[in-house]
Amino acid sequence: MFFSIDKTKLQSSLIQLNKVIPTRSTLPIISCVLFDIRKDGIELRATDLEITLSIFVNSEIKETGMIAIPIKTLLDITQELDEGDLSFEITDIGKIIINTHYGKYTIMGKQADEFPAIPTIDQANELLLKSDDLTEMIDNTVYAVSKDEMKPALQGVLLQVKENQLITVATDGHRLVRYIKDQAKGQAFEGQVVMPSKFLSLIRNQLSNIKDLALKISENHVQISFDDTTIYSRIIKQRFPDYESVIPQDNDKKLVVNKNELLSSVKRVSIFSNKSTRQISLSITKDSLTISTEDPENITTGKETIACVYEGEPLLIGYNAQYLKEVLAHQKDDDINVKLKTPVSATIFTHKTKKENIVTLLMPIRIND
Amino acid sequence: MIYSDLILNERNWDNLLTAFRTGRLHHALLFHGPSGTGKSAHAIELAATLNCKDSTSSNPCGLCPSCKKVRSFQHGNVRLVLPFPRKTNLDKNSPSIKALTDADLTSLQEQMKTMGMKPYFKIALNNANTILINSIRDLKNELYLSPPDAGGRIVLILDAEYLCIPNATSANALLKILEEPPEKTYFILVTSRSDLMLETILSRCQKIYFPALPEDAIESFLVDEGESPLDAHLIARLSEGNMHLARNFQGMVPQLYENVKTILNAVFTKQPDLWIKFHKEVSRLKQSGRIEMDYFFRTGIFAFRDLLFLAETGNTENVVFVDNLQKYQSVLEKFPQSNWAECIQLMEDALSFIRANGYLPLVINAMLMDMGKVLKGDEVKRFSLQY
Repeated sequence: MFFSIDKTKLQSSLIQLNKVIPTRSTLPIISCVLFDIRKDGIELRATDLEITLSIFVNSEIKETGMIAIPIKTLLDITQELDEGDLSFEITDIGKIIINTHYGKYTIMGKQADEFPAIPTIDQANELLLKSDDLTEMIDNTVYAVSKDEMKPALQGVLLQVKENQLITVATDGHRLVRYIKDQAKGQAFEGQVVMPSKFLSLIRNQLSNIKDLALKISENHVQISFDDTTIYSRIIKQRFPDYESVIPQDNDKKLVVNKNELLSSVKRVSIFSNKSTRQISLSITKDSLTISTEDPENITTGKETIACVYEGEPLLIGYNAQYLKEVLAHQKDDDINVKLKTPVSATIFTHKTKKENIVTLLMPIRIND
Repeated sequence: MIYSDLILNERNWDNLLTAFRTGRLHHALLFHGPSGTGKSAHAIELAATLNCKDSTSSNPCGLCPSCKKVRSFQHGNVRLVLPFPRKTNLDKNSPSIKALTDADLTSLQEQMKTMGMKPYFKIALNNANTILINSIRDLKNELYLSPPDAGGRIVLILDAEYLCIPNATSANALLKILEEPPEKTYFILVTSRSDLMLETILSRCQKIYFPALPEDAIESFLVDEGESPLDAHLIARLSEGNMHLARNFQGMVPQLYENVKTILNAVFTKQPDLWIKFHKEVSRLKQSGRIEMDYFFRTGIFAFRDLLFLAETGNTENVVFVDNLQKYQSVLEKFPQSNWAECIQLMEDALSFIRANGYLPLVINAMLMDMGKVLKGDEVKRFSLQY
């Protein structure tokens, strides 16, 4: 097999592919990039068995074929070479000869049939999305995904299409985010799928220069394609909990507070909170909100008061400062709307516009007497 | 088939195939029985069967891309779990592979490659003394995702008793998914020490027993591998149906005879230099590894077994070390009162004491002196290990 490829194109593709490849594995084949050399160009593919990334590169092909090449060596050599074309020659025994104007390098490849097969997306349903919308969906939900392996369904983001609405939900049991986008009209896909957060984080980094994209959803995989890149991911085959039933509808106490003021206060006060519980308390009255913490173990305290508008009986409620900070940081309004009920019931943060509706639920923690 | 030289346990294999074909294959199987009987190889064959692309045969074809990937452990549907070295600074969310050094990882990859070619090869990593809870966490994360390929997913847990050693954390972490695995997911737990496993694990599995291999099967296997018929016969006898042992004994026949000579000379003569030689040899073997020391004592035990057979039956057919027949005859004439069964017991006791870190010179001296008494027909007081 013979082919030549532009060094810059190859290098940038390899950098992308390297993000998928695990640093250590018992399977030597997945530390390789598969070169699928076709008539019109080369498809480069890498996988960690959960996510498969494929990049198509136009290049000059003399002979077609397939070979798996260890990515580390290839990436190292491309980083040390100047711009220009690299020509590859692959012998029958899988020896790869790279010819450059500096000299000649050889490396042993692996048989392509050992490389994991490309996921089959048969009978897929397509979901057409704007890149910005997908970015929003990811940014507003992924932070709430659980890291607990005991709750596998919560390690992903639920994507649901129903009644012309695109709904994404993530929860870790302590907080929950439901993001609704009103633009699912005419979509081929109707149903739900739980996508791993790793997949969403990977595609999030690639969405900046893209306008429209198609998400294909099949029984076992999701696939997203843009430009010359295709990303496949396995999906989480677990039942996502009934999130609607945990969002309270009867929170009658309303709080409006400046997001930045509250967030910076929480950040400062939480420095003095207990390192394991991260407990802070919010004492809410008609026009003031007092954020305080106390750590008897290390004899530290913190207290700040900010202005707010509150309708309801005075309330003292405790939160994990870390969770509260993350929730506040992801609120879009300058003045956030919070709905509360009792010190032990879930707090709701809402943001609603014509196009989107975000509900964030945060569970309080019981304050020690 | 994946392995052309696997001595197939026809009964178990047919039962497994029938269960698979009729859709009644249990989701958790425990392959148990003595070491070296091909339990892991049968599990790999089953994994290949579940994923083989060739539907014309009931056995795996061994040639399709799927079978090739199973053979090289590169198949996405086949997940291997095995004991790793315990690493104290491995945090909860770290993948288990972080417990391996670069050398361990290379060794594991090499051994996996060998195991794909040799059905009776056993993967053993240095200081691998437990199945890490991180391995179970990795496994769960993997299994709750959709399957990477069509076919059945197989989780192969080798040396499964290490789920419960030194404590049962990993076994307990496995219980839920072992009881209710995702669709088309099959667990195969392979162990030669099911007695060390939790009842809660055992009760969730369908047990499939692999008995010791027949001696003639091992003999012909060794002959096929190029061993001479006489040596193959001796090794087959010594290995007692354990193919791991048989393979380890390959090419060692002269050394085995030398071991017997060292042991018998120390026992039957009271020359101090022969006792010292015996001491030195055991001491050297203990330092080089427990297995080597076991082999040494094993040859001694078999030599005394030869003497017991000859003394009791006079029949030479069952003698393992046939080249020693002449020497055996003279020993039997010299020690007609000897209790050979007691000699075997004394050697086994000595081995247990050494394994339990008994003081080596004391254990060896006591054994040799007691044997001296037994050879004269006297009784000896035996001690047993009490924990």
